[in-house]
Amino acid sequence: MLKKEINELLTQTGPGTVMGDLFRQYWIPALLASELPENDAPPVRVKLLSERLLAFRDSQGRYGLIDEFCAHRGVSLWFGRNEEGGLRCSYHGWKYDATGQCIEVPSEPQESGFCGRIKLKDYPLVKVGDVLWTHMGDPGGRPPLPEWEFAAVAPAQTYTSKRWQECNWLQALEGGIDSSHVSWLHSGGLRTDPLFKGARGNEYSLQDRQPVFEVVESDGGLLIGARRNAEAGHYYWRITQFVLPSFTMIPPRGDHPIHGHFWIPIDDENTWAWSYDYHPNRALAAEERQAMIEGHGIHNQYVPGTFRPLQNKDNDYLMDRAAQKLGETFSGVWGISMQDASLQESMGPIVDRTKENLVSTDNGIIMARLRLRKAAISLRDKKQQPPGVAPRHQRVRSASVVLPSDESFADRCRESLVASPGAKHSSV
Amino acid sequence: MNGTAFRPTLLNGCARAATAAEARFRISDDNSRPRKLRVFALDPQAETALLPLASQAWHGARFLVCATGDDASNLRLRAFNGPAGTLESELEGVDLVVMVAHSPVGGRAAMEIARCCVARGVRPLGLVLSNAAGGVASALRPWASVLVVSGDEEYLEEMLRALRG
Repeated sequence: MLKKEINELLTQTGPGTVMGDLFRQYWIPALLASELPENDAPPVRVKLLSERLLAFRDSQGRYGLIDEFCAHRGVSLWFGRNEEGGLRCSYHGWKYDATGQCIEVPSEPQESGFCGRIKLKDYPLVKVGDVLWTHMGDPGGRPPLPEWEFAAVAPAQTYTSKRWQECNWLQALEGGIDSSHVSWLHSGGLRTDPLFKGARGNEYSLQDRQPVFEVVESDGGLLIGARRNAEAGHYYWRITQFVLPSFTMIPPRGDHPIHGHFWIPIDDENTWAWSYDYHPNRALAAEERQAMIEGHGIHNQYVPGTFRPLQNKDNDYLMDRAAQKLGETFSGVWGISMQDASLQESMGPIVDRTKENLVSTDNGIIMARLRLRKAAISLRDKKQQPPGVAPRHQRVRSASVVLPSDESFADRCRESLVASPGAKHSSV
Repeated sequence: MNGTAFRPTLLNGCARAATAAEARFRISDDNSRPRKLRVFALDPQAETALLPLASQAWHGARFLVCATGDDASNLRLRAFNGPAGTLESELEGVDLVVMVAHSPVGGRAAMEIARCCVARGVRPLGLVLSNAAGGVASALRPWASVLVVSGDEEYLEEMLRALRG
């Protein structure tokens, strides 16, 4: 259980909140690069950390992420015209550049310099990999650009998607580090999903449904090892990475790509669930990429033209009781990501953690909450840089390995848990 | 609807009820009874870490110290605030056992506690209070169903409160 005041501290990320200030120390994913595919593309409404913004790409290819609303009368600039090096409000023609600086107020004489006094709030928007990233904190404390491996490999090796999840970011994150649900909720997918099936490790997962957990602090967050019986004298280890504030990496299976998530607050009741898949030393096969596009693995299908999952709370996630009864899916919901999202959304927009009854296998969640809270408070009280900001904390990998039963994953897998450009990942 | 006879009629009959407004209709009664926890310090440094916690108010947690350097087959225990029973009696009816270690010397005590736990259907949790945990973790690993390694002294209290100790 968690006290009400701590639950509020951890779940609220708007401007001026303790956890909001923590999130504002990091580069976070803002949009898929494909949402602004060309110069002068239509602008895109963006809401992050409870701030309403507008992203656009000007005639010179400069990305801008600015206050959504015109400084004149407060209308949405989404209706504006993206033309000739700026975004022009459709109401009275005020024009802004990619930094939010007003560069033209047609009703005022040019020589008055009036437009120089108008400036909208802006944040940087930078393309790294398939993603446009932003840093919403103090420009003076802006860290180096992100170095997550999924965004650093060649485009042919990586695929990223995002979906709207209708609940607070923390309950989504906690699903990402809760390894004990995998043998239950996702058991059907291990045998059938094209991005999971066929790995030797799946058999260990399906044969031993009572894994033993080891939770170890890392520089950037946590390592969560799940240990299952393998051949005599050996254990099969699956090691999940959590890096603050909200990056998780699932252990890989066989030669399948590695995957994981970023859980980014839209506001306190909505989250962007970013899902990445990449292979560190080869291009994704055409059928792998197609499977991701079709919503297999950790990705999902969409309501056409949106980032809302096709299975959502308005259609009871297309619950299939027959498939549930037959054991094709454990919960009756199709797909790994929507199996998670359906249950996490069912908890409510912000779950009341004063009523929960955690057990010892929830120690990863307990430690993640403590690390987040302490990082946020150390930032507030001591201006201490939180874990996960430094690029070296971002150069991580998950792993799945078989080890002799007397060996520790934390000792034996030290190298496997660090991203090494071009080197194959450790995966069973 | 894949064979379901009826479609939801009211809001609370479908997943759309996962709103803040609907949350006020959730049952507010207690959903669990108090737990009985036993927390064992396996070595002197672990005892030091437990000392400030033992004097606090807890729902059902009791803090015990394992005697070290004992060659006897039965583990000797003492409580922070007085005598303790035998290991068997201390584990009677417990819901959760936490073994706290800072050094590898408590491996034998961990073994005895774990064996006694298994006989009672309880899976003990091991907490290593050190970041440089190699030897300590190795000593606890065979006997803990969950092993946590943390150099953060606040973690023990955080964990016990989270587990409704």
